[in-house]
Amino acid sequence: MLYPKTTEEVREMILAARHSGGGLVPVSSGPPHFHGASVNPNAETLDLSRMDRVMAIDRRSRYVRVEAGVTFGDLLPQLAAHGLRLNLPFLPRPSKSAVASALEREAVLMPKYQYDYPDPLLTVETVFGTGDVFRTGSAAGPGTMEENTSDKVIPWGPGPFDYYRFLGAAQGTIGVVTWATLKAEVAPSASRLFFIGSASPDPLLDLAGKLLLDRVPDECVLLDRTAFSMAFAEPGQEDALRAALAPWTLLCRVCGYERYPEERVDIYGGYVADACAAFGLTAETEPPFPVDPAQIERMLTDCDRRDTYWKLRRGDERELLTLVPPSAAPAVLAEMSASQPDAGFIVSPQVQGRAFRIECGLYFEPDPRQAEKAEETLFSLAGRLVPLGAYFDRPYGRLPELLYSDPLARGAMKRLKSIFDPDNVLNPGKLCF
Amino acid sequence: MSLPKAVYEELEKVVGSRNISDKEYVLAGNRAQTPEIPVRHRSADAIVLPGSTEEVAEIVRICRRHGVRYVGTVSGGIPTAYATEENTILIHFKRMNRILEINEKDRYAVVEPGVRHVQLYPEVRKRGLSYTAAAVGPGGSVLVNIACTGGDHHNQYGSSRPTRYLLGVEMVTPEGEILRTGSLEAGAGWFCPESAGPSLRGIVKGYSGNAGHIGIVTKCAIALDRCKGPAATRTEGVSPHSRIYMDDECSRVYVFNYSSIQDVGRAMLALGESEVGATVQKYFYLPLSLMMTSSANEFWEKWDGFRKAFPMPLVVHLAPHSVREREYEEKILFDVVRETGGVRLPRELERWWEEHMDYFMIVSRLQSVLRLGGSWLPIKTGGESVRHLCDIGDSIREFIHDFTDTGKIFDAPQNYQIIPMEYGHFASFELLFMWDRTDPNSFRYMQEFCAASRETDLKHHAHSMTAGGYGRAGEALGRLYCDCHLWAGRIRHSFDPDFDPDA
Amino acid sequence: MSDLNRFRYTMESCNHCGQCKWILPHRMSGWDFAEVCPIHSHFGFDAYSGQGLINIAREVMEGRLERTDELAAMVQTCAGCGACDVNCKSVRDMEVLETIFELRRDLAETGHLPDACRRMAENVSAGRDPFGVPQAERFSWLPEDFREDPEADVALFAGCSAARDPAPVLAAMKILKAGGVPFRLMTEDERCCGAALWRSGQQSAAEKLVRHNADAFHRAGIRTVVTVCGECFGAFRSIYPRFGETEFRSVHISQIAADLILQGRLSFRRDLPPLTVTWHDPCMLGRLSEEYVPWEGEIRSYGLHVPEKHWNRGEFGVYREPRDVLAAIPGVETREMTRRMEEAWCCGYWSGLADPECAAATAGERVREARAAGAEVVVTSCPFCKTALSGGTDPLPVVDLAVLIAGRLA
Repeated sequence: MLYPKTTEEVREMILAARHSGGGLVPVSSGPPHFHGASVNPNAETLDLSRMDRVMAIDRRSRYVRVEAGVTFGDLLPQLAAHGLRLNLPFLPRPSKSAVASALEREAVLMPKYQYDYPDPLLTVETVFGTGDVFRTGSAAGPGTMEENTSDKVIPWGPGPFDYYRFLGAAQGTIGVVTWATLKAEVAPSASRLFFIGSASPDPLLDLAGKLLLDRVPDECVLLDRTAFSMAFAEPGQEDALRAALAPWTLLCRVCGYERYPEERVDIYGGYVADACAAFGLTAETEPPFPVDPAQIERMLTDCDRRDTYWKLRRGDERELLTLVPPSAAPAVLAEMSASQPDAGFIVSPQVQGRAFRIECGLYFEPDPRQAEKAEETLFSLAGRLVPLGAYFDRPYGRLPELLYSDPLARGAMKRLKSIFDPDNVLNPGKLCF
Repeated sequence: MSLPKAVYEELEKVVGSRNISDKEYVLAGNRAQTPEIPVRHRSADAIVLPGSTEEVAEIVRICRRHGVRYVGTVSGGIPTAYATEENTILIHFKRMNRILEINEKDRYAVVEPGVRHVQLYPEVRKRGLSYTAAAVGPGGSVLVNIACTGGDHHNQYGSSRPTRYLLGVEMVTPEGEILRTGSLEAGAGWFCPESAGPSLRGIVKGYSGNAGHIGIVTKCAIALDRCKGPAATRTEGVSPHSRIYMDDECSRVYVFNYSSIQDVGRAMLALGESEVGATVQKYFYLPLSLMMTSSANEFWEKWDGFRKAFPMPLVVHLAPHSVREREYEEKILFDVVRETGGVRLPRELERWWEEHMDYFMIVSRLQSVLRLGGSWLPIKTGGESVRHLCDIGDSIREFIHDFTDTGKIFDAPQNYQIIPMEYGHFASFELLFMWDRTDPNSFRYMQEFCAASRETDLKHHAHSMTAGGYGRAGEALGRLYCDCHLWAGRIRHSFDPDFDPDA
Repeated sequence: MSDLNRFRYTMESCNHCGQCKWILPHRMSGWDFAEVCPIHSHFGFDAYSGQGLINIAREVMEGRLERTDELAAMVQTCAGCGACDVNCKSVRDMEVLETIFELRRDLAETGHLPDACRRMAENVSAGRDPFGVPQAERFSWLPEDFREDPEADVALFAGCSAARDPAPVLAAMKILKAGGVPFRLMTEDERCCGAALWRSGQQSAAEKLVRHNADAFHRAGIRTVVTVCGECFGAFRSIYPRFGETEFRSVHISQIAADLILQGRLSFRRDLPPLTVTWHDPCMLGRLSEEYVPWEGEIRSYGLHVPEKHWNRGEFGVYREPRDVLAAIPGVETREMTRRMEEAWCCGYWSGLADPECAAATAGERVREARAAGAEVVVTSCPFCKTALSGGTDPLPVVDLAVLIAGRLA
């Protein structure tokens, strides 16, 4: 295990690995680890958790710049103190690196702020597998970080290529990201959370699409009752809550900001109610099941600070993450839920409703055989989802076996790899490298 | 030098005799000197009009086999649309003009390079949708605009710059292979631009486009947004005095004047934080004045009055979902303007904007900037935070007077535009100026002005533009931008082995 | 003599922006019917467009492109419809169409002219109209019982096409009579208006016709010339003033009919079956019919024209009156095509002098557009448009406006 504290140290470690022919697996988040940080017996772990400086929080230009080891648990209160918030995934663990979350293209809860798939990732500093330090977008220059007087927030470029896209979802195979600038949003001054239940997910998918086309909700996420109860029930109350829930619930929160916040909430709340009525659905603010709406609202805007991370209530979890366009979502979801009726599902509309990220979680007691079986089950399921239009842009575990069938695209990725990590120092064996 | 007969015949077999020509008068149509540059564009040796991606791939392979250079082009009008060296053919995409799909459910459209904005925009608008595109004319290619070149959208405040909306791409590599990126590469359709892993989307376009250096994009999908403003517009009149009316009680335009760009910036940020407005822009008033007049003579007659009347106009278009929301937005707008010192301009001007606020009215009029002889250049076409771009706007006065006061160029100190995007998270900048091409020194003045602008930005270490250029050719600026020229050169070389980054 | 140098400013100002090729946004309707330049649409190369032709003109002027018969034929594929010109002038101060005409003149005067164009002038020299009809037969269609009003200062200009198809002129005579408008026919002195020759670059041959007709009007005391043919109308408005011939006023029959309807002097039958039509704007009646105002002066820096120049931008063509007339006829419903008024797609007739295939494709495209608009019948007011649109493999019926009006008069 290597624990660099500075970019220079990262650089030296990479150069040393190049020299020795060893491999490095970059890790940013603390335990428990899920997908990306799988152990590679042929490589050392480059643990960035000690690079934990919050470098800048800018209220005016609404961004935060943090080193790779800064976790949601540490960062969110600091942002709140500046009246800002992050576009979070659903109830992440506090030890999750904010930078890694964005790099991994984790599903975000506020798709209206997401214009493009890498959003909220803006600029990054990276040390490529060559040992060269590089900054993307407007952080590239002119001059050094200290000289460059910009806010370093424009993600594209520099020049004719989008370097930050080479790094996203690359699982550390192209470069080690040492810090990133993330888009922050104004924290709301007023809000209203709607619970919209349905026996089928299909009308809720359509409703979410409509609301996001009009950019109405801030947070917007669809949960099945297993995931809902796992996430929100008090310990021991999961089954009771699950029994009281509709099979599917769309959580939809409208907000007002600094100026006339209540008025905005009223207007946007009205849009939600109108849209629900058009789809034959009902938007509830006081749900008919045993939860505290205020508590849920707080949880939607924070990480899971309870003793046991919600996904691990039964001890262990394996999940399948897929990305689908709206037209494919009903069929993919139907196949997933028919195949895994006991799984928990989180369906997150993304990029202003133009896609859904679907997370299918299998929760079980710790047991290596169960874990292996779950992995096999989900991989098999993934194979059946491909013909239905599912895409796996975050290819963890064995998923690369389903991808990279296009030799030309695979070859193009290898060309990139050979430029930025010619000695295959970074996370060797991952993806198609 | 003309194309060898054998090569011509090979190409002719691919596209058919109707779709290839090396006649001098046909070549003349794509080599004439344009007023921005004091030299003629080099002549291509032939022009081919392919009809499909497969034909493009075959043409590229033939060219590669025979050592013939090629340039892909659609609309012309930009320097990369012409042959620059001997032994070059133009691949013109006039025939590849199909809208392959408009997917309302998944909100994307798939187009070939020959599809023009004036074709796609009404098709998506019929469906209540819209898309962002840089300010080119109605005949501009959608694909080139979004996948191959830089540029910003006039109404991008409530959305983002076009680069955010590029999805799956099909391109022909310099080796003549057909490469598909994003979800397309995994057979999952057009909807997602990102690869599973290091994203090939990154090679298609960065801040600027790569103008076909990594391959010729033959199809791309672009994401569609809700059409802001009324679903249908009423048009009246005959060009050039035609109008598109926004008959919608939700839709209103307001124009305010400011005396300080920092105050404009504060207003932009405050409006953005409240997510109020569909369009917010600090417009450049030289183009505005040209758009509001019908001839160069009328422009010169009114120019003094224009620049005194609105030296720093902030244009705000409200297009919410309901009248109640418009009233709510108006309250915030007027509060913000009051707090930031804006002064509302006469309703007549607002009405002019309302009649031209439709994206296409703006872009079809915007070419009025060419009316003063056609010698013009936009510089500082970069993006950054609103705060930083306002500082850049302020710094223009440090160098502009040496040029405007002496008549070397035609511009005015506050004649630049700042268009926020993503509700003010960042913005784009553009300083547009003109010069008198009848003056033999004008091209030198233009170059000196650009240099002064660049030096001022470098003095302040301001990010007024991205750094382009591959390899040694991009060294001057690239070394100030993390040596990006070297990385760009390596990437280009890896996809085009014939490219030498050290040349 | 031609002088391409007069259009140097236009040639040097073109940025290749593409505005000359695509419909302006206020008329756009979708993917289809978005092109405005027939030759660009047909051939695909940029050389075949307003932008391309002024590039060619510049190279010819600068001696970099050889004048050849092949080039002349290529240049004559352009029907001279002026769509490029109107589009360019929506934002710029350039004379695209004038440059194209000057290029044709240059080529014609240096001996490069397609045979079909050359034959037109030869016919005129031989005492025929450009299409070969002897002058003696020009009015052979006139009914023997026709009696004109010898005191009238209004002349109905029959045009060359009446010899092939007199119905539009006969209909116009019926309209004028029904409306109580006294008029005369210039049966002895009327010659071709000259447009066909002028547009093909044969300006001196055209000038002889212009002088002849203007002199005839003057001698006969004609103050107003009524035309049925859009081509003649456009010639009187945009060509005659180039030769200083501005003594008479030209009026199109649609303008007279619209005025008579407004005054209640025309009434229509209500017992005829309904008809769904579309109006095809002839180029010379529409965007090219603005009165030409000569300009000589200096173009200074940044496009300042001294003295101020009058620009014809296609805004004030005869667009409203034909539509008003159609709207006033009971049972006639008008469906508009996408490309209409100043953005109308040309019928392509004049392309046929150099490339019949291009002409047919252009006409076929217009018929397709008319059909897409839901029309059963195309109504127009130009015999050349009528001929072009009536050809092809799958034409729609084409009716002259005057014929339609006269046929429905009560």
